[in-house]
Amino acid sequence: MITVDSLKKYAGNRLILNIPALTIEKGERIMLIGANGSGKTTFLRIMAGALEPDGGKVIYSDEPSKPYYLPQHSYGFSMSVYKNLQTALPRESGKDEKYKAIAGMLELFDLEHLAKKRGSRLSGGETQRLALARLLITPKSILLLDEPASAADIGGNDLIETALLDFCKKNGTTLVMATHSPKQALNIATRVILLQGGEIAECGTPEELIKRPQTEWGKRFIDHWRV
Amino acid sequence: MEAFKEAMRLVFSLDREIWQIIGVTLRMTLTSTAVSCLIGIPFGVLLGKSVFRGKAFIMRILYTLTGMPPVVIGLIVFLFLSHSGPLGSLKLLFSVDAMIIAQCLLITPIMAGLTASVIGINAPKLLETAKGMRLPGRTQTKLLLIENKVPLVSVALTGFGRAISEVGAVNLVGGNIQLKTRVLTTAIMLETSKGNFEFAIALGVILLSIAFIINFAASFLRGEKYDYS
Repeated sequence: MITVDSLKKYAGNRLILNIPALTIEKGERIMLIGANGSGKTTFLRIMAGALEPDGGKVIYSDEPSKPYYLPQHSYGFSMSVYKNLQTALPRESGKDEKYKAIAGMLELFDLEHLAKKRGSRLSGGETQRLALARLLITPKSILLLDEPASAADIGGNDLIETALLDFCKKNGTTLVMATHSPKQALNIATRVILLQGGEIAECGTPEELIKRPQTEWGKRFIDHWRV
Repeated sequence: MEAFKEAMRLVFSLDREIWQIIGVTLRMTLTSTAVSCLIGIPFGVLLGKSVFRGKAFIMRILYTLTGMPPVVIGLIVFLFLSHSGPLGSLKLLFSVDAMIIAQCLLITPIMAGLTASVIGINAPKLLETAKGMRLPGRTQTKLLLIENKVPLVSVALTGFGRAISEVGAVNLVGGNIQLKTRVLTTAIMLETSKGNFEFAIALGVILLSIAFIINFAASFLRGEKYDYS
């Protein structure tokens, strides 16, 4: 379980994140939605430990408790795509085991034809697929993803969505993910949280959001999904 | 043209003094570059990847040291190593070791400052990704070095270039003693002042050739053949 308690973050004198209380159960898939600058990335970075809050804390009570985090602009290391994936594997893994895991990820994320290409030479969408493949190559209990498919094309988006949903269901992974894609949010989520001005404006299941959006932004989000 | 021909004859004549000058130059330059790399690059990496209060102040000091006139460094080292100086008992003044010390003081801040600037460009993004993957600290640093291999080789080359072309400090602490502390730059200065232009040009050609060979070798280390593909 993840407990968020009185979390506050300031930018100068401006309060940019204010979450008094939030509980995320094990295996939940939370989609963070909201306009640019609404606090999604700040929230995820604080949860990942990449940013110190000015007040409050995030408590991870299950073991293993440390979350894995994919930043918005993830980095494709300049070694080959194959070696990029190898980096994410535990050193003690056997050679065959490593090969199988890497081959599986290359196929799953449609990266086979890019296996020998340098990670730093990939397009934005390809880099995002590589970054996610690197993260999903071994089971994880908590994943924090910041717009993992923002640069992906339609095919890439579908691929990421399917891979992510399968991975979370298979491993019982708790997922907190920021997205601007209504389709992705409503397909993956067990709960959708709408952030506005750094505060939770709406929080509920995708069905609740579709049927009864409480805010103007929530209505627009659902309208986009319907289109 | 005559002077240039004579210079070429000298270059290929295997003159004992020329070879001695080349030897001292290489020993001094390569040693000081290696020592400065060992100190300046790790310090620069640490500085570049870290975020802490006072970092901007340290960077300012480094940049100030980068612009420090070589003769001032030479003077400081001279005063420290002179007979009545605090390190006079080491009897290092007018030796190649003294020249190496002066050069290290001169180029270490340059390497540290450049390294910190280079690392600071991609370290935040790279480290956030690596930390998010929960990679061990050693792997994170290794990745940071691998990703910055090309600019770090350039940093080392900049230090080498500064060391091999330096004249003020080495002249002061080395004394430009024939067959002992005379290096290419101080020899060129001396031969020019004597009007011995053939010899000076020959030394200049050798200096340029060494710099070219080192840069050419470094281009392989930088993996440039891949970067232009």
